[in-house]
Amino acid sequence: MQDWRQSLAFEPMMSGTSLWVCALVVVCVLFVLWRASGTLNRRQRMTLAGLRFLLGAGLLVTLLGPGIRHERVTSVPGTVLVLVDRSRSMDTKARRAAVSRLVSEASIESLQREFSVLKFSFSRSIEPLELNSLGQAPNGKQTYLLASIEEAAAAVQGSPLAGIVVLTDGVSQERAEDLKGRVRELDVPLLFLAPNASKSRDLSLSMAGEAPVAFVRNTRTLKVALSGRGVSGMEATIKVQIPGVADQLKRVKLVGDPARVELEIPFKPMRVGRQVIRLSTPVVSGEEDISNNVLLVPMDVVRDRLRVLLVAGAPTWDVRYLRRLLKEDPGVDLVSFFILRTHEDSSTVPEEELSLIPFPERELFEEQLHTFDVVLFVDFNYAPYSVGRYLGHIRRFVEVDGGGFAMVGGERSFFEGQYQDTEIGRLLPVEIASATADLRPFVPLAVAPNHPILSLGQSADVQDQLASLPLLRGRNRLGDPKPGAAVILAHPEHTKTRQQPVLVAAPVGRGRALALAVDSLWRWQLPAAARRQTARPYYRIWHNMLRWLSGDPAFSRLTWDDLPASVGRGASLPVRLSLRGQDWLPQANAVVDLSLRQKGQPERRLQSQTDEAGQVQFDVQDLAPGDWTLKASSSAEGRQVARAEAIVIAGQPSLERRLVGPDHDRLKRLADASDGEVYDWDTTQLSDLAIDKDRKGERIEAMRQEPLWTQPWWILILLTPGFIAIALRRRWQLV
Amino acid sequence: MKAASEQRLRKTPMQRRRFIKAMTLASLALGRPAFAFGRASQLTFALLDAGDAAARQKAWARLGLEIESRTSIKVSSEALIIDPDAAELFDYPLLICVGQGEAPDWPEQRWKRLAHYVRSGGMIYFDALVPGDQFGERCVERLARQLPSDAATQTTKEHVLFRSFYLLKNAVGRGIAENQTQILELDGRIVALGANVDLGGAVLRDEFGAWAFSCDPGGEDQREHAVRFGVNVVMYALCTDYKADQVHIPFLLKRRQ
Repeated sequence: MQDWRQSLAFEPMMSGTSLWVCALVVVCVLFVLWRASGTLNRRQRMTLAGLRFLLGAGLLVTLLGPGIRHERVTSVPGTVLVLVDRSRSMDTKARRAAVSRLVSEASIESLQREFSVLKFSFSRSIEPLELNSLGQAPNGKQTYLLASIEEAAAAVQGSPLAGIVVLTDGVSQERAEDLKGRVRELDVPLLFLAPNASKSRDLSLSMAGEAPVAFVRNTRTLKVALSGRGVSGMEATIKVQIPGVADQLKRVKLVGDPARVELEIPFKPMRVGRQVIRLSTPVVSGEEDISNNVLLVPMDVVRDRLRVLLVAGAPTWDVRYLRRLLKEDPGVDLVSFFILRTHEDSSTVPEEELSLIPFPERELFEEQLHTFDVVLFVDFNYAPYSVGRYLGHIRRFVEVDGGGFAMVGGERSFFEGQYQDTEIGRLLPVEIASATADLRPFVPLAVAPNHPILSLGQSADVQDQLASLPLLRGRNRLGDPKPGAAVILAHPEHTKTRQQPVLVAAPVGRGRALALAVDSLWRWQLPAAARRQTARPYYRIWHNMLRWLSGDPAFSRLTWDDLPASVGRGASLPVRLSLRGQDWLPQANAVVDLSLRQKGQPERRLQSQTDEAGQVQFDVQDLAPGDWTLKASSSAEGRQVARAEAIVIAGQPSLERRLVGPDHDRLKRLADASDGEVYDWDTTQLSDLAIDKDRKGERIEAMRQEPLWTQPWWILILLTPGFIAIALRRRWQLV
Repeated sequence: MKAASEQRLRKTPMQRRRFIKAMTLASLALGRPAFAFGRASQLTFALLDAGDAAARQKAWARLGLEIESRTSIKVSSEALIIDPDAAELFDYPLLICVGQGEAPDWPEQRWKRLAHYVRSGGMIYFDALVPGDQFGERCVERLARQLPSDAATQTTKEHVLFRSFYLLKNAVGRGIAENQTQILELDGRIVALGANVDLGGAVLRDEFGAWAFSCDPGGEDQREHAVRFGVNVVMYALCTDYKADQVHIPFLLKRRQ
């Protein structure tokens, strides 16, 4: 049906600026004429001013180009927006089937008979929807429901919105701020097609707060929530698995629909590094989504302080300055034991007059050993103190538990301490030469000047720095370094064929071992001060050795480069590593092995060779969901020389899937605020929706405009005030 | 010429190695006593030459024997007398200074050097040749002028110095300290100790092996305590506040009771 419609319209004869100038001129003229008419009586003056104002206003209106616009309009149907939620929470078999059934070509065509239909998919924002894409799994990580509706409404132009149809479960991470105001501003009914809440059943574990920063051997609390839909009154069990701690079972009762229970789980990590806490709840029958019944919480456990056990065979200057260094370091928690009296010493004084305590070898090396990060034997011989039986514990502490062990020289260390053929001898990174100590003072030779332990904090050449320091006085003789060990410092007589190492370090199993064959490193402290040198090299080398012993990743030869903490479902995992050689320079053409393990999954092994920059890259595909332990290693002469370990979580359900749906409360609030409705999508078709057909639009088919100012009557009316003014002036004899 | 040679050494590793070897050999050829591996880590008593050091040199060597027989500390059999301006002063983390009367009339620069020594980690034990003489305290007061104003303090009965090996109550030597001992502390560490008890005199023997001085008023029991105080001073120098570590406290409290 077509019809003509008239309306007043303006087509200005000049630009806006010119019009403003004209208006200003008119006002000025009126003002001058007003001033000039000061001799008239009040009635005459007001009458003339009024007539002149009408004339001026008429002129200005004429310049605006008034006319009559004739439009021929046609009515058009209203627009219906169909929005389909494509977030991950919709990725269940039942929801995908319902969406495919509702948003079919037939149903859209049916809707198009009465409305103009625009289709969008949405999660965080909208995308044009192709019906054939509905066969793919929804993959949106987040849902912003109302923001997506607003975005879609803003995309419609020229036709009024008759209704917005939204197929969703209502799960959204959007904050409901000023919800009613925003919905009313849309001025269109929101019609939601959602799953029937009473038929849905789901249990979901999620974090109820940020994962706490975890410090080793410190108790922290993990806050988690168990949410449920369709499980009101049920008692659920949550299994908590923390590395190094016995599994725990927590029972909670779920009340309400939806139900939500928050739990606080205290835990005390015993190891440093990334670990995964696994929480799980059994699947109940009829659950829509079982992937959110497991929650993996990655936890980067750090040290608040490095816990060091220092055992010294006697009070010496070397151990005195080392203990002082460790005590003054706020990052070190030191437990030290000095042997102040041996069995050979006189013991005529009653015990109660002495401040000596028994050497607690069992407590230290059996009960408390696991609480330390680093154990230092400084000039300590094990034999007189029944420590021999515990040497195997120390080896396991390093190889299995990942601790650090260092033996520092002295007349009770290495060969002098009879450590050859002991568990410690096997643990050390160097063979113990069967030769007595070399008594000559010397300047150590920097064999691996790039090694981070030799970062002495000065810009000068490392060897020059060593040469400027006081001489070291004597050394225990060490044999050849073991495969994979790095000789860092050596005696000046050291050659490749006749090795004379002084400082050797090597990774051993999961831990690290270090041998320092001198007991006069303290001479880089006080004696160095005689030359007005600072004690910085002394502090730096010890701090570096401690960092290396504690497994500081910066001191590892094999390091991960930007390894992601998690990868999405189906995504490939890029793994890049950098390898340094014994000289601590990038090692090219070395073989690096990578293994990936997950409980219940076959181990995956990969191998590649480093490039010129010492880097190697793997692209791991098709990781099954769960926590994967990655172990990378490089070997030389059959012995592992560098290793790195990490954990990556694959395919963990996002927060979107951990919010149990459908959220009918949210949908009801939105629908009520817009005079819309929430429909059960199991019993409703698109054609059943109560969309207002009267919300139609119109289209202008033709248009013409007739100017008024060209009409004689317009000119007559325009000039009439002027003529009257002239007539009155004559009558009042003012001309 | 020397600069050029050093330049070459920096550039070529082999020459550097020769240089180090040469330094090592040169250090052996200097005529100084060869440092045995053990001896390098042994405790050597170094007596600051303030005029009266020779009078107690043998006493401290004698005390060293007692310490070695009672503890795991290895002590050099000789006590050295060392010039306060000597370069090797800093090789000895514990210095002994004995005298009488006023503090030595040393130049300001020398006291400053001693202050640098203690700040860098050294410790000085000042003692009087005659019990009751104020030499130790005067020296501590004189050295305190070169250190922060809060460094000067006194020991208490509970100070770790008196439980570093033996459980003691005060300083003991040929005399007994009536008051607590004047000390200088930096960062919780005693850097100077002024005892006016003539510790050396209590352990000194004459040429015939008899005690050189009597210990008054406690006699032989006091002499034994003097040896114990000497052990504690040396043990403190080597272990500082080790006996203040938390792990020792329950044992020590029990024994104090």
